[in-house]
Amino acid sequence: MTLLALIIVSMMMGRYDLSLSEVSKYFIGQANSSSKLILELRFIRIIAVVLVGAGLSMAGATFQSVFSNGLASPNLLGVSTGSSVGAAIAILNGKSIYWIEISAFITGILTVFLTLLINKILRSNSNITLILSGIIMSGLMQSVLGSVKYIADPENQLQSIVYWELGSFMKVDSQALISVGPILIVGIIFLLLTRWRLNTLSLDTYTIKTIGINPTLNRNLMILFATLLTAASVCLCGVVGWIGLVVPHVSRSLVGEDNRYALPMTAITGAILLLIADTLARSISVNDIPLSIITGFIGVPIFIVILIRRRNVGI
Amino acid sequence: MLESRITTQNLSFAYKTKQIINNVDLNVAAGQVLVILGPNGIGKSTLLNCLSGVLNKYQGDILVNDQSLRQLTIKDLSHQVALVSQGVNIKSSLTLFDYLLLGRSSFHSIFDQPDDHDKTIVKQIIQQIGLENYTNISLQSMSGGQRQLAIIGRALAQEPQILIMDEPTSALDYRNQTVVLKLIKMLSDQGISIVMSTHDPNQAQMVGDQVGLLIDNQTYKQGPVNEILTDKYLSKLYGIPIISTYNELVDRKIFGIGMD
Repeated sequence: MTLLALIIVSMMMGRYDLSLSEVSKYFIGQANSSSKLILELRFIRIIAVVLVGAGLSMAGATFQSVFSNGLASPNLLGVSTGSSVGAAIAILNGKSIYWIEISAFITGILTVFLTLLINKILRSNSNITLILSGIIMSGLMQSVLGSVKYIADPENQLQSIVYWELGSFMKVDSQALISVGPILIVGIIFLLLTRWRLNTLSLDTYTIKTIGINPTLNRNLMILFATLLTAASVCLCGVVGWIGLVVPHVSRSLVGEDNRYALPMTAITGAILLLIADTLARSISVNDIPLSIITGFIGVPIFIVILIRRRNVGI
Repeated sequence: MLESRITTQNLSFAYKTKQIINNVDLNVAAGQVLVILGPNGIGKSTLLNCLSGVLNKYQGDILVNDQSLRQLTIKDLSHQVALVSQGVNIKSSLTLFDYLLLGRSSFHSIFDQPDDHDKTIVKQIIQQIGLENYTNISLQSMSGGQRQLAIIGRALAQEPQILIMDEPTSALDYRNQTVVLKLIKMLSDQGISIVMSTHDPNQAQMVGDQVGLLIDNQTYKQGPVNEILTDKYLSKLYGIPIISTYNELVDRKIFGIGMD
């Protein structure tokens, strides 16, 4: 309900404020041509924001459960940067949105794999080591991304790639939404349907096995879909910080640890939070503000509060 | 002769080149409690992890209800054998109820949610382990003893015929040890076979039907409690003098460490 109300409000807000009646006319197909054009664009953008907000947050929640690590997120594991490298390479080669998607997914998966490999080589079960491995991979991928930028044609390719780095929905059009949206929807539905299994996967490997569940197969499946969601999000709007890390914690503090309730809550909270961020991004100044700037300002204080509240329990 | 639930034939296990257990032939019948005794690092946990299917690169054979463990799927095995690990380090912050529900996972596909049948079973088990008042309490805020009971409960939710318990009382105080031991006795009366390891021969005396000694990496000796739990065997097992006295009040032998 909150989400629906927010969608309506968000439709009204922007560089040209529109009234509630104009928004409702749009939905029953009676808007005049000029406001229809604006609302059409806004509506596409809002749908993309809602899907990415839900998708990124669920990816974060999935990583946190599968690795039993409250610090795991698409960004800290290096998946986001990894995916943006793939996207950048595809842009550099002038590929279509489909290839950008596939390429982002492949480098995203590759980054997760390497992050886990480094973690294994370091032979530690500590939560911090996994995040360290993610930072190492993220750093490597930043360098690769830097090289791609260096080669890129500064006139237009470089612009598109830079656009990817701080996240923005400015360039989302109906074509991008139609090609990437379904992937986000499939990923979101899969993770929602398997949310009870996610509880089982947060146990230790031996226990999962004796409960009668194949730990490797199930975990990899979850990692695959979480990475798919991250890569698809990166294709639509680039790297958006903090959402994947903070939203799962917020949701768990609202409804408890059980993913049967926490995961749907994460999806809704993520959509709401990103919608607020994006509405601000396109409303408060003449130009679109990169999203990560706003999600950073929102996410950091929330995360500090979470850390303080959790310091007795351990994260 | 009772029907045997779990049997091993020449069971051996090595980590890389280090032989941990060698040619173990153990046998547990329906409703029996087998207590495994042995010094630290002798391979008690390794043995139990083999029996529960966690470690599978063993030599020899393990028969569960006369079927080779190697031929069972993870899922089928989980409906016959459940493992109770040491509960000290459990990280889950689920509520007791949600945690016990996890034991029902393999009865469903990955896309399923727990149904009313699962919930009924879990409620019954919570009563059985005596934690009704903690149903919706997070595991993180429970005591060590309650957490150990929770782990046993989760294993019971698998409705197993065999429970493998790795030092189920080692982190508990006297009171909680008694609670767990009573539960073990009750479960075996219900026909569940139990293999447990412990450091305390007194516990073997209290709940055991059979005792298995892992004497060194080469020898395993199993037999009825009266035959195996003797001062001679135990002194040899731990390499220190162990002296037992009969206590009339509790009507059993009490083992003590003899120090000079």
